[in-house]
Amino acid sequence: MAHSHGITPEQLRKDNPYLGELARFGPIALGIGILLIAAGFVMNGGEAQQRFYFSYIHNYVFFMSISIGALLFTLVNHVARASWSVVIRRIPEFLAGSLWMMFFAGIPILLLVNSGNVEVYQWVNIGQWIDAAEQQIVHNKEAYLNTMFFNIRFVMYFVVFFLFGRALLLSNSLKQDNMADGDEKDRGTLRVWQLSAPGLLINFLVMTFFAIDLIMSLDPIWFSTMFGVYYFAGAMIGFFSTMILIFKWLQSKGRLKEAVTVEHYHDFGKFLFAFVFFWGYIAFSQYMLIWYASIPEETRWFHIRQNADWTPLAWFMLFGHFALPFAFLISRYIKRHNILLAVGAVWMLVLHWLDHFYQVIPEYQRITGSAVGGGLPFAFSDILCLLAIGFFWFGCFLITAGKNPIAPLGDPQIAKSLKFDNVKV
Amino acid sequence: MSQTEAKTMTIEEPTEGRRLLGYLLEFDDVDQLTHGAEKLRDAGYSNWDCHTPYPVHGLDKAMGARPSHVQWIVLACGFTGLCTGLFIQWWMNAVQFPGVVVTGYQYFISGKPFWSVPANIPVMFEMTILFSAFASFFGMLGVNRLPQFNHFTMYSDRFGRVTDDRFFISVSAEDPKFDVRKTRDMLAGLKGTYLEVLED
Repeated sequence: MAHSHGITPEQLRKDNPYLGELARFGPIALGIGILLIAAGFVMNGGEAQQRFYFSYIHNYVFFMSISIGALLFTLVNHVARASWSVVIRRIPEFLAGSLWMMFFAGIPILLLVNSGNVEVYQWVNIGQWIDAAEQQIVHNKEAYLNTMFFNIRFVMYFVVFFLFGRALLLSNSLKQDNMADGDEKDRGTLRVWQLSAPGLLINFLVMTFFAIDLIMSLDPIWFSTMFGVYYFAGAMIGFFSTMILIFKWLQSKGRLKEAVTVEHYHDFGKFLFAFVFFWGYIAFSQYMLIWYASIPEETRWFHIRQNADWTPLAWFMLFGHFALPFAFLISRYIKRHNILLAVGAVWMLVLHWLDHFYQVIPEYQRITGSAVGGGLPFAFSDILCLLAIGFFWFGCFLITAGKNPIAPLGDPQIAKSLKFDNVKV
Repeated sequence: MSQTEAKTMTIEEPTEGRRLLGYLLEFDDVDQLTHGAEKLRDAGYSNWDCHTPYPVHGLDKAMGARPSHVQWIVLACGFTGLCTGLFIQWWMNAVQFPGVVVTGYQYFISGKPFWSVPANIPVMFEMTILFSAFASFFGMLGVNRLPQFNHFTMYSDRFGRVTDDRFFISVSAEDPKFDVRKTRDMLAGLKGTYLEVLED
């Protein structure tokens, strides 16, 4: 039956599907990002360097999570042969396709690990552990937690991100833009569909080990078998919030005004709601099993995070990251509302940032044994790194987008996607 | 597959002296069904329904169906389940009242406190799910007034094809706007294929 809304692929080509002059900001943003990172290291020499590194890791994993979420989202849509998401798929493809560039923002972390500095990743030098029992625990993990293997893994992650994000997903999608309909185009889509299923498995594992290496190993004694899923839940929240905001921004600049409809925002809202609940489920499952088993090397992680300075933030995560957005996003009215959904997205992005703050920064207090009773240890470097890596990340995104269309104009399923309707009263 | 060519509709006549239960209009085209539903909606009928072999996109809107109330039933029952889960654990494990016939017992397990909310959350969560699932299933049945043992469309011989390849609009004679002549004329004006008169 005929829908009143929905445009044709020909109309999409006239719906301003290019960044145009917005892309010019790309190299500038990348330059600002590099300058701020350099300035951060120059300004934070000596004793301030330790705290700066923690801020750096915090914001690095935050922006990585958004792009990894984009990669997994694109893969799962190919596995499911989804047609609804085709018109909005180019933005996650750009994010996934620019993921490999984030390797360069990770170089300071590689340098840190290889410099033998034990102030952040303590496992780089086992001999420094005074407590013999603790030393034994870290020694048992040495086959995994050693500098050389860390280097190899870190490089491999980005090789995988390049192969899947850039070489497979984005390349094929861009190639189809101006290709005539036919067998060759369909073969391209079929190949992506076939490779996406193993790709989903591989990239999920890569994400898990990425989270273990960068966040979990900040406390080499502690371990949680569901930490990868915890990172994933947060990553998807960060990703869907970012998607809502990127599309609001693009549409306010006159891009894709007809193509992306309230139906797509409704689906972003549904995903965001689902992952808010998923995050609550995972975060609580991790907490309860550790609480229930009550083993010292497991409870130490939560012991810091629910006592002293951290108690207010722990409660705030429970209500701000789970209960409140759950009640807020459950309403269909809000998910389909122009402004309220964006408010929810901004809120969740801030809370996702705080979630990583809550994961990373307490380890600074544990290692230094400092500043208990002084409230939450926010530092200027948190904001500096947010801007530095944020500009770097956004620059990579805009450079990857460049002159390319910001919707997959030639995808075999594009016409179907433009007619998508949630079919509600 | 919109059909523009004129169709001939067979129209039955009501019989004198028999109780009229309602009209049943058959369609072979889903677009015409949706179009007919819009007409009935705009005419202000309330006791009528559409019958299709599969879910038809946009039919809710064409019929003017309001959002369901089931969600509020589910919310209320889900919250009840949450509180029930919390209460039974408190009653069974956290307290004991000597002398009360049905009282709990304070289990002391590996040094854990008798009462601690984290341990109770899984049961609270499951009870919320259980009560919500029951509420949505039985709430759906209740709101739809199901099960119904009889419905006037059952008097039709043609209605069996609703599970196969035909679409129907039924209008009950109990509708306040129902009029033997006017309703029939209106249905005859739609692009159906067969107008059946259902009588007792």
